[in-house]
Amino acid sequence: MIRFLLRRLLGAVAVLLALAALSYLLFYAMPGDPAQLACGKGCTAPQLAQVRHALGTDQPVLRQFWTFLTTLALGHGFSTGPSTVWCSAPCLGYSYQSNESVTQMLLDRLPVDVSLALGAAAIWLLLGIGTGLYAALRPGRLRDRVVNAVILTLGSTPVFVMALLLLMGACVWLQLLPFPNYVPLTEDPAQWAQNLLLPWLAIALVSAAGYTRLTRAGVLETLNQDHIRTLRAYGYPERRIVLRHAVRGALPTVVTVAAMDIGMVLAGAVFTETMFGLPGLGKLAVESASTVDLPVVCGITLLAGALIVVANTVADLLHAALDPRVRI
Amino acid sequence: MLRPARIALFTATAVALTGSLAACGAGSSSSASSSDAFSAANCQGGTLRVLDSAKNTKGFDPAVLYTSGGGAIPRLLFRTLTTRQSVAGTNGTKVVPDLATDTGTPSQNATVWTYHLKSGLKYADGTPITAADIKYGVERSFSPQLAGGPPYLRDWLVGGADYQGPYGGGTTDLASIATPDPSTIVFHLRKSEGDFPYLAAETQFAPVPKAKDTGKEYNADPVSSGPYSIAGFTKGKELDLVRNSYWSRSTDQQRLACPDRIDISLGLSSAVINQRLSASVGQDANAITTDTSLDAPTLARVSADPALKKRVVTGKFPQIFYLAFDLKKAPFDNQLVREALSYAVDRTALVNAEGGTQLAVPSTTFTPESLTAAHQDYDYFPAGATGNPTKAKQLLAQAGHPNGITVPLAYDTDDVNTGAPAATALQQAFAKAGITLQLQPLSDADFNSTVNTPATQPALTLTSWGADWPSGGPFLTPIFDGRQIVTGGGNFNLAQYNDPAVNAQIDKINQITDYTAAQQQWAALDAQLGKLALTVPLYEEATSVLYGSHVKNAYLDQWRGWYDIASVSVK
Amino acid sequence: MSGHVTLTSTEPGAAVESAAALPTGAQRPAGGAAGVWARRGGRAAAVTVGLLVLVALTAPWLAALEGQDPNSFHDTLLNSATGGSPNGTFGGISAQHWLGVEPTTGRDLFARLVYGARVSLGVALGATLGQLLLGLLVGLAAGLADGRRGGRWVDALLSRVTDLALALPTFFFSIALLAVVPQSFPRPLLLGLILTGLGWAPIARIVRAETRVLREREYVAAAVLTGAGSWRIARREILPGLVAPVATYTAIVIPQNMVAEAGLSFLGLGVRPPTSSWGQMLSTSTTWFQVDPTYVLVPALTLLVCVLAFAGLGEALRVAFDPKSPVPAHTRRGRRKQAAGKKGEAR
Repeated sequence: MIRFLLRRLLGAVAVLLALAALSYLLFYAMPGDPAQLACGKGCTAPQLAQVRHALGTDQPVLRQFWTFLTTLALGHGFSTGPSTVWCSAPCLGYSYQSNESVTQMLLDRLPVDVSLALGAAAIWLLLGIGTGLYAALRPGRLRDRVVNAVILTLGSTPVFVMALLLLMGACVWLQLLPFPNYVPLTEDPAQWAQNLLLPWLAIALVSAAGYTRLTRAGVLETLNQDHIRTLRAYGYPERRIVLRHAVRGALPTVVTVAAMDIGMVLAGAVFTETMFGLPGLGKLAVESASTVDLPVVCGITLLAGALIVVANTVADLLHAALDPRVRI
Repeated sequence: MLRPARIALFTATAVALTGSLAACGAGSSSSASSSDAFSAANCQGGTLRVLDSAKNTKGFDPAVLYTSGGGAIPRLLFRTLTTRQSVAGTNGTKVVPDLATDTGTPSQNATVWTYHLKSGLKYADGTPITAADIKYGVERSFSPQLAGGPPYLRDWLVGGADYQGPYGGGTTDLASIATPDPSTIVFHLRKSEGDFPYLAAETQFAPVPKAKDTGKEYNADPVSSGPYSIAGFTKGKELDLVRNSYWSRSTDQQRLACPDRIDISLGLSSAVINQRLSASVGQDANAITTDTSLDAPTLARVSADPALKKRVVTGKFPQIFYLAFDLKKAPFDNQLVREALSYAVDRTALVNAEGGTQLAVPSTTFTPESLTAAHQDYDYFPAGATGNPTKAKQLLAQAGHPNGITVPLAYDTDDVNTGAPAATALQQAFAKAGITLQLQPLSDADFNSTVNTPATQPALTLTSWGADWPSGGPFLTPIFDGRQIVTGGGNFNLAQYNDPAVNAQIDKINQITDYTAAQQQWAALDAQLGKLALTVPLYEEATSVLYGSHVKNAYLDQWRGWYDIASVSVK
Repeated sequence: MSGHVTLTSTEPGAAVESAAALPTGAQRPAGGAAGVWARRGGRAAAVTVGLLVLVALTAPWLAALEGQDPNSFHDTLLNSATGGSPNGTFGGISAQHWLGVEPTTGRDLFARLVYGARVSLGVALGATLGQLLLGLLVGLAAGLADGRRGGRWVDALLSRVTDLALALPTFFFSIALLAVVPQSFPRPLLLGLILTGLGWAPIARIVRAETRVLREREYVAAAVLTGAGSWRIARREILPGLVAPVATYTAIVIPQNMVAEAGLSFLGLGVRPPTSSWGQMLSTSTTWFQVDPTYVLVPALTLLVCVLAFAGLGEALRVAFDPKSPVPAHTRRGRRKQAAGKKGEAR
């Protein structure tokens, strides 16, 4: 177990380093000068040079990346003008554009994605496992086929189309809900849920399909096993066999995949955030990419990568815990 | 397993449902009482809510802000030497004294400007405002750490070009700003600038106490000199303003400061803002926005609703959207080709692409009609409402291009106004005249550095220009003054037009300190330059904005074409 | 992009279908109901896909039939006083403009839609082809690399590269790549190349795994013994065995690529004006959904139908190729990592 975690950690650090380097180089090559943007429209040439120097973007790119890494590992002092503030490790530096601490920016956004991921996961698990069981109870029958068709349709819908249709349906035609506008859970839980309902549904409806199939498959596979046959032979009701015993067969995979999926949404859901105007990591990623805000871009890549690595590790651990056949 | 899922979903919807129904109920009961007339004398009280889409992640540092006439929210926090006159209508383009006793005393041909401060001026912490603080405020705007403000100070002040602000690095003090006593400040300019009082309305002229200066971090909690100070500020989310007890109307004639509190929500999506303003439910009845105008789809919706239409105000910020030629590049070195493009333009299609007649108005002059004082009507190359491709073809043939021309057109993809819709509208119209436009979209990050650097500048650019204050000076000088051509970046004279006679004319007008007289001269200069077809003026923008049903005295001022938030009342 | 489609379509699907019929006292034989649906639905899906491809191919003629072109402005069809919204009902649908016109420009939506099909389908199919070629090449090379001749290193290297490619935040990186490449580069081609570059890895992984299995089979071993070269073995013995899993996976990838293109265009990073694509149309229409629902529904539903048709085709293909056996278990990890690389960002 500890060895497994250590190995994972080492692997993760290597992948994250490679990711950071790749994204730094790639986004550095993007057209557009962050110094010009920071300096504003009325910027003169000598002023631009000063700003470049202040941001450090006048350095060669590898040196800049090295500074980014050393800042991350060791911390760094940043001049505010009259004085210097020390940003202690792990320090992601300051945004070129807003001059905010990148760590703070990420921490500000994360609650949005946590809310998004957990709420959506609850819905997609309920929906997915529910429909999966519903279909599995009578495999091959009409209801199975209907579920299959509906699920295929929902699962194939691009999330931004789903979001759009939900907005049109709920906010315009039925006028059930106002436009979503993120309210933190700590501020007003009812408002939080109401405003996140549509984003949750958008993600959940698109995602539930996978869980329906996993559940259905797992249940049917288990039903085929000897101990179920024995139960049947004893005359247990079919419904009870499925709900009590067969579900267990599907659980390990469902939980594993859910852990990974939650990791994905945590790492930023660009389209859902864009469509519903949620101030999450995905939106920040697109914004900072368009302003060549390298510290923020790299900060997000690293955080997203780390979240995914953690989610995958959790998934593997859960899988091992739930399925005795799997060892780590 | 199934049932709980269904129940859970159902209850969630039910909660949402009751939530919005409750909200609707509140709305219908709260729309009646706004009929009392507005009175400046007893407008005080209440909480004004502001719903903004800007995130203000850069905060409020008077050195970094780039505003026109002090901006909206910044003007609540910062008093400046002069400011814009807070009235509706044309008089709103006038500059009036703020911290100073008058709009400035010029001497030596308007190269030296002297100001005296009113007495009894204090910051929100009770300490007195001195001339040295204003000098310090201007000085720190030169620091590379605090870049972002307008370029004029660097250009105008003696020694401004090389000065790097007070944070070390050579001299820390700018000698061309003198403070002979605590209430007098004198600016020495390297050339005549009759418009200096207008520049003195920008936030760089707000006082900053040196002892409280935290450099880059000052933007989160600046020391207020205006009617409000910051009670709470979460960048990107919200800003709460409360009264500054040391401010008084007796020294400030321009800010009514009616509400007791101003709660500003930041970073909302424009759809949410317009929806909340049109619903005007609960506290949103006391809401306005300082940055979200109605877009075409919302306008289409509002137009169909008479009740909503009543709560829409319109105005214009003097800004021209135009085609810029690089005269150094073929074929635009030939005036006939430039005239051909002027004739080929379909302004109706452009106006529609911007969202119709309520959002854009065609303009054939570079100085738009909304800059009334400096506007003179002309249309030397009449394209009519939808363009004159026949005349354009004829001119092209005359210029030696009987088979038409193919030219690139650069535009800013991130700019909703000068972006793809306008570019494609131009492309379609020009195709009829045998002019093939190759669209060259540039991202916002790329646009300024590419277009404003002569070495990388495309031959044809779709761009816009708005004046920092309502005068022909800042409207025409950066665009047509040959000495303003900068090679290292930040060049706005895209035509790279340099005529010594015109330059001399500009200098002459800059010596005039009488506003009306100067503006007439600027208008004449614009009409004279128009004959050369150095640009193709296309249209100017109109702004339509919603406000909550309880809000009073909401008008769009003529200086900025936006709400004067300091005049709005919710009582 | 749409992670779950990937996960589930390859995952236990097949296992389920076969298992489905067996227990619970159901009367039908193996593959029964699901198989029927797949076949009937598959037929419908194939017809839809065929029609869409036909539409894309004949776009100029279809537009000519309507008497319109995708780029001409029609100012007279708009009400300039109300934001430039189309005159008439349902977004200005008329005998001249079958699906109405675009607000603020008056461009014909039907013409833009059929021309848009060229980009949307072209990019999706092109990118899929690219991913297939690259994936096959890398996968075969890694799978066939012979342990005795230093091939272990080749395999290790290619596998690590594949791993990294799987871990890339695809969507985020394509934003940067789309911005980095010069403007003059043809945009649809660029989109295809980027999707290829970021999406080949899962195929490589499947091919490698499948090749490893096939290599151990007797007939391949026999071919090796007779001294056949690697290339010959790959072509004669391995490739035929790869057809089923690769074809199945391909059918799943096509709609993913289509959604990816639409997504990039949706964020304003796709084709350049005045070219239309379904994602581009969807992107410009979103703000109008309260005023002119037709404008939004036309591209949204088209995209939906198209993605569905491809998904249905994939399902049918999978069943047709091998209704009984599940996709080999060793592709599991691949799917998982691929999911890690892609889907979160697509949400």
